[in-house]
Amino acid sequence: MLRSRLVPRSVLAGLALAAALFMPAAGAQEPEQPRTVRIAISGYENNITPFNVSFGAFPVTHDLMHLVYDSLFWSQAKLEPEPWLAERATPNEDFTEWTVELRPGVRWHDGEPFTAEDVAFSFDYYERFPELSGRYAHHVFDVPPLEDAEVIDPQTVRLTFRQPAPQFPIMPGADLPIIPEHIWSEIEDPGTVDEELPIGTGPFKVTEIEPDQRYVMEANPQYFKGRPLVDRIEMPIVEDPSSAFQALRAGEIDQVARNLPPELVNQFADASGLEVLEGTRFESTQLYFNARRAPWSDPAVRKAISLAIDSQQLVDQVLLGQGREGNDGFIHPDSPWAGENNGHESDPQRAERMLEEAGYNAGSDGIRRDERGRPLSLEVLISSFDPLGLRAVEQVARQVRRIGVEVVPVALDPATLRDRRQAPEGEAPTYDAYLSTLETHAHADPDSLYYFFHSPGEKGFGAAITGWSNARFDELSERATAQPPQQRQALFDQMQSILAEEAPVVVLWYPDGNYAYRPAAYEGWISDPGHGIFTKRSFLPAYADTGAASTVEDVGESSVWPWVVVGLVALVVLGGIVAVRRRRTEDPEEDWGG
Amino acid sequence: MSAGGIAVQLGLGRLRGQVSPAGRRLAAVGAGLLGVLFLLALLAPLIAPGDPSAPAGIAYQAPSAEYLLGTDDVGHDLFAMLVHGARVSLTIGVLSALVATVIGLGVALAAGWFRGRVESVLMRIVDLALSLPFLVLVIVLAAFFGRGLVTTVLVIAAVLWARPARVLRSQVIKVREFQHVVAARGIGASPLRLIFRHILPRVAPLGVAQFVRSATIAVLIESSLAFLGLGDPSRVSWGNILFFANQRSAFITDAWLWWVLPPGLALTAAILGFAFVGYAVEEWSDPRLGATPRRRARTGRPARPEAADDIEQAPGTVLDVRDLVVEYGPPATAIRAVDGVSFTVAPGSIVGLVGESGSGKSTTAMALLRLLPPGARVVQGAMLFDGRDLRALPPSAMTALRGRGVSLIPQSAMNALNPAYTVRRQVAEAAALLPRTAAAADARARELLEFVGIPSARQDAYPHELSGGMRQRVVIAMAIANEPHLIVADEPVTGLDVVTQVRILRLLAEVQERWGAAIVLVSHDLPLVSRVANELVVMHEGRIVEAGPAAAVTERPEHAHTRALLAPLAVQEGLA
Amino acid sequence: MLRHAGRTIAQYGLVVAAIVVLNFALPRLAPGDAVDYLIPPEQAGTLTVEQRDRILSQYGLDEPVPVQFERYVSGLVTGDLQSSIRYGQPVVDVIGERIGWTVLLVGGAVMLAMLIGTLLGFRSAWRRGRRSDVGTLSGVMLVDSMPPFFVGMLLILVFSVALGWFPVFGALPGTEIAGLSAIGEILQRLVLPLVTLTLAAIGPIYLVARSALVSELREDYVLMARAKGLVGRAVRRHAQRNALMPVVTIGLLEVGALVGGAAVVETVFSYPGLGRLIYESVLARDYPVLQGVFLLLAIGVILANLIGDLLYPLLDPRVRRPPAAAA
Repeated sequence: MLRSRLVPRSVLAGLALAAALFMPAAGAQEPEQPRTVRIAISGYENNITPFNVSFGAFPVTHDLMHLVYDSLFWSQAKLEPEPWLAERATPNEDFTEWTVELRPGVRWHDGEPFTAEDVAFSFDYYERFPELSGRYAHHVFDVPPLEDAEVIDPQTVRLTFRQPAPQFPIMPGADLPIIPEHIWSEIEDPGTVDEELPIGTGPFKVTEIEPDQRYVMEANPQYFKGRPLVDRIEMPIVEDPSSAFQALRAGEIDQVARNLPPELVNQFADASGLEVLEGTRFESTQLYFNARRAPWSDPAVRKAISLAIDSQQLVDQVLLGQGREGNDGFIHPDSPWAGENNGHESDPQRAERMLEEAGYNAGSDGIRRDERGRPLSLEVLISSFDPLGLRAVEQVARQVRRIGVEVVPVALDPATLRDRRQAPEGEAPTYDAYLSTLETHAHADPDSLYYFFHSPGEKGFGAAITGWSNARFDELSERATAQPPQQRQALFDQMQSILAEEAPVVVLWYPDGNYAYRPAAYEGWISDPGHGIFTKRSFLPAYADTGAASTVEDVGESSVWPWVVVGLVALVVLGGIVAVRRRRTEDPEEDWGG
Repeated sequence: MSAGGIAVQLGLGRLRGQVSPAGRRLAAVGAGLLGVLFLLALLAPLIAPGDPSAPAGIAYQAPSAEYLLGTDDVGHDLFAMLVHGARVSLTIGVLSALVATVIGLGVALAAGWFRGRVESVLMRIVDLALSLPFLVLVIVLAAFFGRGLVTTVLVIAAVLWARPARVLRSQVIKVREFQHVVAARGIGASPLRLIFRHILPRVAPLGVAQFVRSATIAVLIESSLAFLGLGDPSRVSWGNILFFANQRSAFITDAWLWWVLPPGLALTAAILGFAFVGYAVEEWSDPRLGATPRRRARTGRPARPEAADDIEQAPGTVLDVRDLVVEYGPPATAIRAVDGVSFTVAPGSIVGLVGESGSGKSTTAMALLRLLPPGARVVQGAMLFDGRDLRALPPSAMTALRGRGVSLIPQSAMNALNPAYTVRRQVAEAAALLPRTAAAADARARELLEFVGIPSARQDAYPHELSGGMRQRVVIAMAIANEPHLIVADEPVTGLDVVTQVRILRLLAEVQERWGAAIVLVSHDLPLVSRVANELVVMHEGRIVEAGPAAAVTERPEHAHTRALLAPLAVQEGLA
Repeated sequence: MLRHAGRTIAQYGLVVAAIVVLNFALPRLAPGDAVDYLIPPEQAGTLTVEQRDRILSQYGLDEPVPVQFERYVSGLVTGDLQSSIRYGQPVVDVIGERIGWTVLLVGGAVMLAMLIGTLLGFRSAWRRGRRSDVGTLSGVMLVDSMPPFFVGMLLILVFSVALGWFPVFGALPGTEIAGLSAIGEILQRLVLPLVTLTLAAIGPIYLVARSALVSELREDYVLMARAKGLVGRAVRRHAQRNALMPVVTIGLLEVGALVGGAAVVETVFSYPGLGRLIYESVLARDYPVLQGVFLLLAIGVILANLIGDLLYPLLDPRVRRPPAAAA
């Protein structure tokens, strides 16, 4: 009797509980819960100011910072970037003066109004601390060189440059984060991090920083491009890519702000609960020669090696086909500045002929020698934390060996690698070649060819890249910095041909961008060329894939199980202790004699 | 042949009898594991011909007949990588361990031989090396010298050498003070000769143990470095396979089954192999650890002897030993320590069991309590006590008898007391065996200690705070706590000064008078024993050579050995 | 006695001094400096020599080495550990943010390993040669032979991915979680790294506990304990008490080794401890942080010795009450 009465009662209780659980879901339009998206980033960036980021979250550091800050235009990957903090910018006739009209009504995260003073201050400040704003400053003091930043009225600022700056809206307009004067004017030492959270105008404000563990950002409800569709972003820092994607798969995070490794693309695209969106960040991996060290100073040797490299095979073998072959003109094919004749020329026969003609004959071991009898043995420095790069060099060694050149990979930790690349001023460094990876900025910056490949000297920083020098290229690139887009493009084509011919650099590949996310948490991700999907526009109503931005909540798994396990472990341990204590009564020494 | 294999052979060669059966079994398993792995490494070019770092096929293939373990991210044959990886991982492990041990040995020899300032400087360096942040060291060294094989070996050795140095030094110091080494030093033998002839051979076993132990750590370090990206990525090693597996998402795909598990398990097997062998070598080299055939080998275990029903205890005796035979060592090569000994003990009497060392007297005594040392066993005879054969008693009954029926006053009271407890507590512990309340046991302990002459002021002392004589008194108090019928006193006065010896013997006589306990008094000192004993039993080479009333034996010794034992010291030495 | 103590202290002092000097020198011996690390890869060449020098001067790295050393030592004395190059924060803060996690992880692992290792070791020693001893011995050695990163990744695979019981990474609970359940989640995130590290630490403790008890059991006082009629637990207690000392010693040694050694486990679980901080600071040539952490470790070594010196008398009366003049 008792038993039979108990059962229905428990069923009733269960039903009531279930009803209680489902009611809110059914009743839909209750006050919406804050939407949180968890995004794993790959490194710590201090308090995300332009002077403190360490590019630990490379390659997304720039986009991470631009969640907090804004630039005058956006983004650098467009030929004509969209006005952002600026409403419009008008040049004078020779492009040496830009009058920037600012968007009204913008406020900093702390409520202070954003004015022309802030913009003028920012430009001045970057110029004042060039060494601390690393990635950003050279667009203020080198090309274009800032002469003056003048406040016309609270909404207007005039920037004067010492040479024509036809690309101002892109660089530095769409690049430089604008910082608040009322905060930074008191900071004399921008490199130090005090406890304060960064203040920007961006769509998200930082609310919590746990060094090496995570950032938490909350939506800026007054954002001038509309309230972000995500209320809060939790950004755990997961350095190990394997862990990050593991966590994504396990549902602990909703997106990983790094390129999905090629080997996971198919698997993640097929996985339930996950989606993969393509969106290149203009990444590239290239081999740089030390063009100041014989025999690599000989263009014939460099070009021969370039010809011996089968870029497509590298893409197939190492990137599993998830990428495009290199372009001998360096610039990413999707960049607005990419030249006409894209592609990589691979011709081992011609390479061998070139080396024969240049007098590099093979020794008994099959390795060619230079005129002084030294073997053509190329030591390639490479970061030991770059598995794809390591694999690439392995393959390159194989390909290049066929034309009688030996490639010796030397894996180093990054700081040692950079040290090996350096030389005292005025001297040529002693490395042979190194491998590196670049992202958007290097391919979108209209002046990147100038910066990267100008002959060593005052201009650009070619000395630190390859040390290659070519008078014709120098002339073209200097001229290009002051040209408006159409004329510039024509010069670029010529510059890229010279690069292709002389091969100071060999681009091994451009990887496809594939980004995985959990649509249940947020579906609005868009693919923004040059940014991938982790970029501010993915969160803004005017750009995001709003049709998809539904309010499906990812119901987290109940966390009962772990406790059961903890309990079990505790029981086992306790049981073990008890058992051990019990057993003691049995004395194994006891039957010796006999 | 690899150094690891040699270590195994060295170890096994002299293992017998010194290494416990468990150790032997582990060594066999370990040697087996290492053997397979070394064979794999040795035969790598045959098993997996060709360059393992050349891409063999399409990337990310599951295992197939062609690729037993599938392929990795760029199409390397994982089986070939695994086999060839064994070469690198094992070479680095063995070489680093070898270098580390040699350096450690050198430092130990220098420190242990020269002592003084040299030693303190060297040992401080060892301390330093032990506390160095090894990651920094590795990165600094690797940055300077590259990540080649030789560098890696040296780096790992630089991290490892300090431990062998420390362990081996103490052994060098010990050996240095051995009689013959001291003697050789005395006659002016050259240090080099001494070190190579006398010290090195005795330090070597420990060196081998340290070598094997270092090898386990070296293999682990190599793989950890590779895994952290601090190795040479172009070197095919197990750690390197795991590095790429982790970097190329093997854990997220199914690939981990054939990409991660095999090298991980291979690493584990190698380390385990070294660890097992190392364990056995350590037992073999360290007398404290080794030689634990505590229990008879499973097969050689004799059945529990039948209770000797047909033998009646001689009337009027508290103990009747008949034809007792005790052997040491494995049955085939057993040595008879006691060979057919028979004697009786009358209630309340003191029987002196006398003989020189090795005569079997102590063995007989311990056989009575069934507390023979490891490896010894009673093979024949009966020990009748209160009508029961001690030899045939079940363990629980024997336990119940100890301390209550038969108790022991052991050799060297120095060590017979637990240094961690007060003497009163230890006596009370014995007293508590007869069901008594804690308070009663404590009271009893006080009374006993008082009786044996420990004033209450000293009863809370720890053993180390008491003199040798007092400790012996405490031990006697423990032996009589439960009024046993028989006390076996094994050399109770050895090592004490003459005055104390006499006092202790007098105390024993008092015990006998007061409680009427019979005492088997084991000693080499016949004149001393004859002062208190009623009967004397003289043993020589495991047999009784003479027995009888004390007065008779001392006055008319019939056997040469009895006479020798009776003779003054000078004569004894001459005879020896 | 006093003289001995004085000499011991002096020797420790020397060791610590040497560590302090080496900690200063070692990272500086490595090629490259903080600037190499600070500047993003694509901008490696942006800096002119003057700019580079200005950064170096900001961190005092342009001064002659003796001056740097003097500043470092005086900083140590006054407790000013300078600022981290990588984090721009005072080193004290950088360490402060991680030390709690390390205490939780490494401290927890050492305690667990001590407890389990000692229990198992004593049990094995007591039953040595028997099947259960050989089983435990080989089991512990097997676990000890598995590289910690391997164990960690398998644990993630099984318990995080396949079963979903524990999180894959990190130490902090989600932001919405507060109060008691936050503590619960912190513990939950601790479980896997803790288990991994404990498994890695148990081996040596077990072996020491086992061999210590084995050799204690061979002492005469154990024989005496049997002879006076004690059995089983009572006999074992006698020996265990004296076998504890080497176990404590090895346990304390492990603390120091594990703080740095945890780097691998912390990397696998993205756990924010000091081990990972050391590793990353070495890569970043963040000298101030390295100096700070190593100072901390040196202090830790001294503390461990101190704890040992405090514990030994409790374990061994011979240390507590040295023998009186009486012979």
